[in-house]
Amino acid sequence: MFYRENGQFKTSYRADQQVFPIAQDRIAIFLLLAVAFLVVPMLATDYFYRAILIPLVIMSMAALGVNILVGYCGQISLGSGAFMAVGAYGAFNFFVRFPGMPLIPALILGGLCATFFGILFGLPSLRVKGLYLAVATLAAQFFSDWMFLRIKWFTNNSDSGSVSVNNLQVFGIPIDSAMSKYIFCLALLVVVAMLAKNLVRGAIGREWMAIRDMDVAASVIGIRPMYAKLSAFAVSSFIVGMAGALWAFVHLSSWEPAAFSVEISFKLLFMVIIGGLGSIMGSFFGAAFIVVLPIFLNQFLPSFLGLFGMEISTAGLSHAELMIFGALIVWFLIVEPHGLAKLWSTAKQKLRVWPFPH
Amino acid sequence: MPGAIIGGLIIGVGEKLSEVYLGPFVGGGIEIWFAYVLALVFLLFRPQGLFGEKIIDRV
Repeated sequence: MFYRENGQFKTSYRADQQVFPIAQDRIAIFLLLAVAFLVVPMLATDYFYRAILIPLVIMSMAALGVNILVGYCGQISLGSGAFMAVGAYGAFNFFVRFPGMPLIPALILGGLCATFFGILFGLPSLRVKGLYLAVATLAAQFFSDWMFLRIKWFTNNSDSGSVSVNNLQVFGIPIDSAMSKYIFCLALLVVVAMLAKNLVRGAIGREWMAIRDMDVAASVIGIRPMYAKLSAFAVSSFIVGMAGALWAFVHLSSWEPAAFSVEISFKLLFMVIIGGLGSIMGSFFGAAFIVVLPIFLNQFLPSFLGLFGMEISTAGLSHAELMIFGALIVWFLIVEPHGLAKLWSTAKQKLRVWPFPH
Repeated sequence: MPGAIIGGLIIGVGEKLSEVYLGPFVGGGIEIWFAYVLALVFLLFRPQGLFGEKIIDRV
């Protein structure tokens, strides 16, 4: 950036080990949070909340969870949609079957259901790696699709299979307007992001990274692969499950099992790969890319083509949107295989030595 | 080569048989995930498959 860390001497271990050791970074994060919590609610419209901001915040949380598993622990997972579904339906069952269950404990209990499901389907990771593990976690996806469609108990015996929640409130404050939903999700996201950041720079995060880089070598130096892999599955599916519960409760508020299909698993994996594997910030970039780009293309393409006097039908627009979106993903991965987070750090490094690059 | 043939048979026949004999007990439609869960169980207990050689890792 335009600042350098020169002259910021640390005199205690505490100061040396804080999350953002550079003062300007701390100020920037503080400003960013202030903008997200105070300025955005003053400017955003209802459409902007529902179409962009709330999905973005929730998907960032889910991408964070997936990044812990795929980016930090190196276990490819295509079961993220299933973990979201288990979180959502777990929270739903706790919410509906226990009258007076407050929202936040219901979300956390939903996350815990997803944790158990994640550990169960994470067991094959002890035996298989790479693509085979992707197949094994795909089993979780298809199994959960089927489970929530066919076993009526999970959907509270509703006839159509679709379930809904209403009357959400936190500490007596109703979560019904778009703004309150946004603030609620954002507050949870901040808590989860801090949790994830501190986990990955602690002992357990180092264990995950050691397993990712070379699992046999890691086990030789005394890291228990079972503990490390299953804890990554547990933490990741807890976060993804909470995000799923939020997605269902706050964003959709009435949903059916198809809302958590295999498509959402792929989307989450794309987010993590495009954003940057093994980077907390990358999760946010990836989620922004995947959530915002289709909407941006949808809005921007007709007027752009209008400049050249061309018209595009609605069907053509949605096709073009998919094509451009796919092409951009491929292009990004060729240009920068390490994702948007790497682009960001390259830009930062360039600016740091500017105007005298070596 | 024989592994692929036998594997294909097991998956294909297993899917249909499970649908017919197990399906009614759990509500039907288990064809969707049966192959995947079978793969999962195999990966868990015999990662090298039925006829594969044992995998040895070198660091």
